[in-house]
Amino acid sequence: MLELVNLVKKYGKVTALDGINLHIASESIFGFVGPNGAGKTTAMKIITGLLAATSGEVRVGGANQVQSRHALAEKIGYMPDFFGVYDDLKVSEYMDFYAGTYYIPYSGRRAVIDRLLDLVNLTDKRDEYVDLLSRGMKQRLCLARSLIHDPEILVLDEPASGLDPRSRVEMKAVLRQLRSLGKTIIVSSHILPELSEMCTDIGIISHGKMIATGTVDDILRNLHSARVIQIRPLDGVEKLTDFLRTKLEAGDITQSMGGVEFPFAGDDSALAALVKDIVNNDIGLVAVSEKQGSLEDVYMQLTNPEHAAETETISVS
Amino acid sequence: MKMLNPVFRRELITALRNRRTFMAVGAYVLFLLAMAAFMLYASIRLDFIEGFHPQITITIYNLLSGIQLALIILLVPAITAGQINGERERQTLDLMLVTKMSTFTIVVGKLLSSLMLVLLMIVASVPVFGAFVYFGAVSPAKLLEQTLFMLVTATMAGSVSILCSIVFKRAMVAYVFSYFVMLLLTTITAAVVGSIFNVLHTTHFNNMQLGGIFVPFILSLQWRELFTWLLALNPVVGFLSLQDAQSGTVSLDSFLTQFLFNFQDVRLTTQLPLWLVNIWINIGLSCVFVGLSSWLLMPARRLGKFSFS
Repeated sequence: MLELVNLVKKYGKVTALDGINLHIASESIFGFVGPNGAGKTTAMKIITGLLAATSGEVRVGGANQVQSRHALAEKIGYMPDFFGVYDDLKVSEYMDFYAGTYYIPYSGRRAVIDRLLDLVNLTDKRDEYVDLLSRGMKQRLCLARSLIHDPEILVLDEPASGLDPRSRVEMKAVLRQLRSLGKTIIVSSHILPELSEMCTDIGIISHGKMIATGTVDDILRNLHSARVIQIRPLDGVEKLTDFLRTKLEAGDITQSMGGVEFPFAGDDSALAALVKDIVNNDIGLVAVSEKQGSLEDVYMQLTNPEHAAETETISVS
Repeated sequence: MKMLNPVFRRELITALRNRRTFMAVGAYVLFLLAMAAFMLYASIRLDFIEGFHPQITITIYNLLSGIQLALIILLVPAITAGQINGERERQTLDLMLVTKMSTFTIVVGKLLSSLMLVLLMIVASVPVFGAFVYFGAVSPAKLLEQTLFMLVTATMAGSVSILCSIVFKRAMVAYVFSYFVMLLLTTITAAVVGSIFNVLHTTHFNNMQLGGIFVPFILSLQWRELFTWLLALNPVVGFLSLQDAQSGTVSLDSFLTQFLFNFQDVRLTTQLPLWLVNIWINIGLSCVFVGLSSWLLMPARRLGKFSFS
């Protein structure tokens, strides 16, 4: 469990983080979303101990206990948004170096390194120079490096940036696997569809403020002003449209792709009642579905400058 | 189990794999050998009296030792002043700072790594200098003293350069400043003492001319003490004092005593010779620079409020 409590970071007069509050549950994948300069990397650097917060608190694990860099290093694995590799080392030597930096005994290193290289699918590259690896492989190697001391929490800054589609899929698979192994993962990305597929929760940050947190589904459902329902009748789109006009505001109903589409403010039981009414009026239905809003829509809506001026954290649970 | 410094271990792996490391050490030893051989040969050939003069070996030993000191002063900043900046440029510094290694371990590892080549050179050259023991130029104990002096001077130069590498984010500025500090220690201290002495001596001499009676120029005890401390900062003065103590052919002590200290022994109140004081000062400076480097390298020196369970 990781908690940020009223975290503030100021660089002179510039406020990079403006009172961030965040609760990340254990064994979840938390996606940090926000435009460039929003404060994602700053928050991540504070969590890893690379930057000191101007005020506020980071709680790792929940209870108030000691303050030590050593303890923090043990709990957190960090993968920044750049590779950070030594080109003159072989893959196994690179991993061995970082095993040394966490004082893993020489005798146990080989097993740890082999297991991690297997996890990131680089076993056959263990004796190759890091320099010769592809970008995707280097990225996976960096992920393996950040896991060398078996941390509880993984902080990954843009892990999929610059990767080809195959490498991204592989990276996502590895992260899911890590979650199943009990890791808490914090990941920042600009690639929203990917985050919505991968993350259990997301937080949208803009201008140093957390403007929305919650599960992806909840954020989509609650931040859209209304659900959009699509109904495809067996025949007679006109008949269905006429019927709906008696029930809903006429202007909102649009016809498309052999069906109708309209915003619906009611809950699931109201929708079920509406569908029952339609069927009782002898209109055959082929499909009733809810149009999926995209995370991108929400992101664009929340991070536009007009919205930023009136931001207050929307917590969705 | 005690582990080798991880940073040093990594650098050791790459350095030992690199053929250039061995070539550099080999070339240096060969250079020293060639210089020694040439000077010996020339001294025999140019002498009008046939035969070998053991006295010449002392001069050659002193010259080669001087070359080694110059190499340390010139080479160590070149290798060391880019160490931390190199990690910054490779973007591996943050990765090291989030590990369990303390910044002290990182600084010491970097210092050892960059001194590795110079230390190898110094150690590899011991047999060359050892040959002079055979000729009678120097005793084994004195050779050990000189090796220790070189190692300590190299460590001091390295720790200055590491500090510069941390303070100055731009590598070029770090290099320039490291060389400036070495220049300050090796030249400017001597120049300052020399200039002050010159002014005092001239004034004294003129005054005495007016009086018409010759009175020896005597500096007060405090001035002598201050000048000696200033000179003890200087590795070159320390080196000359060491050579003087070893062979008596480099008349640093006699120069200083004659002009600066008025026939007094060049010793501080500690009663230690200058070269030994220089070694202690350099050990002290190295500790200060390494400590300061470790403190400055620490990310988020005030960690902020963190709590763990």
